[in-house]
Amino acid sequence: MFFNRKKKQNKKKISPAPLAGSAKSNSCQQPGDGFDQVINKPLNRRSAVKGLTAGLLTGAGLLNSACSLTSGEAGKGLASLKWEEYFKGNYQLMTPEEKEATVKRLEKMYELANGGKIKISAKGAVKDVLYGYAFNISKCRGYMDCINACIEENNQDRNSQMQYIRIHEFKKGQMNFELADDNFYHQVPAAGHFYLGTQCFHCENPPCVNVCPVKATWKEKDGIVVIDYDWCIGCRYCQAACPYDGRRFNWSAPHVPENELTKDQHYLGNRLRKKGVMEKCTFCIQRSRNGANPACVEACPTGARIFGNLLDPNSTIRWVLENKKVFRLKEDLGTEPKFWYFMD
Amino acid sequence: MELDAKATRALNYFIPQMVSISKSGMVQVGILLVFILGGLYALVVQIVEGHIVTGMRDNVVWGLYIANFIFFIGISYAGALISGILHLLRVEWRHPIIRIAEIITIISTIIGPAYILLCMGRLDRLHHLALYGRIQSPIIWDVLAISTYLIGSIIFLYLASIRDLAALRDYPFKQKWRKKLYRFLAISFNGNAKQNRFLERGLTIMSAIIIPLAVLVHSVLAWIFGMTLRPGWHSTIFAPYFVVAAVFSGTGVLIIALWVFRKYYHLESYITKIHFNYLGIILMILGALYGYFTFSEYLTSWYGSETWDMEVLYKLFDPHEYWWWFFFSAILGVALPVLVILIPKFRNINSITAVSVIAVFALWVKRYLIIIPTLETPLLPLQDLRPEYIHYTPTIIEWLLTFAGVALFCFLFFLFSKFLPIVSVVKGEEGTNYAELRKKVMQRVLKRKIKEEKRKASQKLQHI
Repeated sequence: MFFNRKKKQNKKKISPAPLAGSAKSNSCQQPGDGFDQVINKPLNRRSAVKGLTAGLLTGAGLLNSACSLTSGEAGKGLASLKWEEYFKGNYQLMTPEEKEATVKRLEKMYELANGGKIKISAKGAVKDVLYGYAFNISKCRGYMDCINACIEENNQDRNSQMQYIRIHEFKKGQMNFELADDNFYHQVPAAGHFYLGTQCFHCENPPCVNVCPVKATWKEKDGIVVIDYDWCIGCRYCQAACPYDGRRFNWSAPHVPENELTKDQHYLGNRLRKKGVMEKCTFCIQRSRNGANPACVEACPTGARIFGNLLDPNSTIRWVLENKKVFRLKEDLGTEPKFWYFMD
Repeated sequence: MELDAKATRALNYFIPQMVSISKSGMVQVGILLVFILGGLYALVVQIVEGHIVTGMRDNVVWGLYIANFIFFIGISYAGALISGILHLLRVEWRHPIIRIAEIITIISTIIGPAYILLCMGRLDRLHHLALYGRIQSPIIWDVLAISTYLIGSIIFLYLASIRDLAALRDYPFKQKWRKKLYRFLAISFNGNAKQNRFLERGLTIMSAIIIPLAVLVHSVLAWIFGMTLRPGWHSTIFAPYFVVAAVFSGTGVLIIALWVFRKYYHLESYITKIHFNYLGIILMILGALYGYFTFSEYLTSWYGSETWDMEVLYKLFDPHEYWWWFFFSAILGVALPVLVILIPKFRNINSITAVSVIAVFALWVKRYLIIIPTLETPLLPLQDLRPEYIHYTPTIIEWLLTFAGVALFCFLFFLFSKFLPIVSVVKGEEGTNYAELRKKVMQRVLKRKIKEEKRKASQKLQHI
């Protein structure tokens, strides 16, 4: 194991020669984009093997794009953008500039492919913000406007009727999810019933994040559990690990009609997903990070949904937590959800 | 390399079978290839259309693929058990079966993880596992453990067959590529005393390494499920339970393979009733142990009757859902092998093989029952109107890929039997001569004692 110690050290001294993109030659200390993360690394034996693999892939791809005869001027642009897109790094490790470049590229790609314009934001977490959610059981009447608003806002696949939110209808006198119904097609509110909504609870100790094998999902600083759709390998372990049914998988290529598309997007939020990756509620990160309420809160006709900053002592959610009797679902699992239920 | 008469006879028996293939053999290989092509077709459909073509949905996120994955990793225990433990114990009867056992291990350790790949949504991002793996995730533990196990098993098989490779190198083959291949693989082994000593030592070390590695592989596999907060999975017994189940099914598959090769290659003089008897008794003991684990697992969760555990148990005990499968896998598939082998009157080659088939199939069903009923019982139950979201039914695509996996297993076995004799031809001499060793140790002890005595005597002399 200990052979060639000296040699290795020498190599390190000679090495990190910035191959390209040398404007940021200091980027060896900071995590860079895909190129920097994968290829432009100080060489030691291990990273050399890694680099070799990536290099081979790069070569194959270049060959691929060079050989496609059909692509015209615009197509070529798209192909090379797609290429860059494939080798971008993990979003968490990108610098703000790289994040900006990435979302610009995604916007361009959409324009080239579909003609329309979209806006993708890469806004980070605001300081001193921790989002929380409260649900008033006595107010909810099962209208399901939240579900519709959520689907419209978050560009969910229309074919599989994917929805992040589920409204459970309980007979009064019990709260057994086995006996509840989340698929009712009758006039609401039904007599003798009450309603309760579930979605991703954005746990402080999320089991889904723990089991991810590739850092494709994580908890942001403002408490939102997000997924990098371009990093997920689709193993669905997070889905198996989530006790609250908070996650969804794209079993086929998701389809959203062009005229129904929400064009104000966030990289970690409602931008268009691909086939074979996970997605989930992000508390409408594209809205909440700009100070707006999530779509479900805004759409709720009864005011049963309350969203806000847990660190702000004057926020409504703090008032609810301090003045109402609140509980969380399956608190005994130790997942610490940031989603409380309360009654008037 | 010099061969004794027995080895020469064996070599002359196997080599004609290695270089040629009979007509019925061609037909059988053709059938296997049809199944494999069917699997390839299914794979292409799945990649193009997405996993919508499988029976898996947001409720039941894993299905046949994962069951097959556990099953194949389980039968890979055949090699670890036979070659590892029996080698360390220097059991004499292991020689004719050690090669078959090791080949089962390697092939199933290759096919098993392939099912994980079939399960993944984005195969194009496979390299993320290697470049950006999170060591906190049990999936990465699995990747590390299985790849180490595979490499270890390949080394072990290679070491165990190096004598045969040397013999094949010296055999006048007509095909040039065979000559080249065997010359390359035999790394100028000629069976002298020094080489033999090193080889035996290497084999002993590898068999000592491979046993804990095998235990680790299946424990880690069980922890993929055990680490999640799900009824039926979140159990401390899962790791040893999986290990025992794996050895059980591995031994079963080994018995079946021995029976098939005995018939196919007419190896009655090599693989005898003794092998079936001994392996049968091992199977019986493991079956009893496995039954005990099963009983303990279900009794605990039934007696405690926590709501979420009971939901799964009701599904398993409900005749409209999984009861008959559960009965077959946990009761019949365990009791039958144990009882048939326990009673000497019933114990013969065919009956032992028959109960092995039952045991192996029961273990496959058991893997299915570990995955599906638990996933159909989420903590927040679903009431979707679309039945596929509530109940999992494997689709034709998944079945095609399952059969393709089994066919590939047989096909790779067939290919292997064309490169190496299926039974090891050259028997090595046992490395450690214990009588000699004891003598040496005794001599050393004696010498030290004499020295001590002398020292004491000289001290006494100085005193005086």
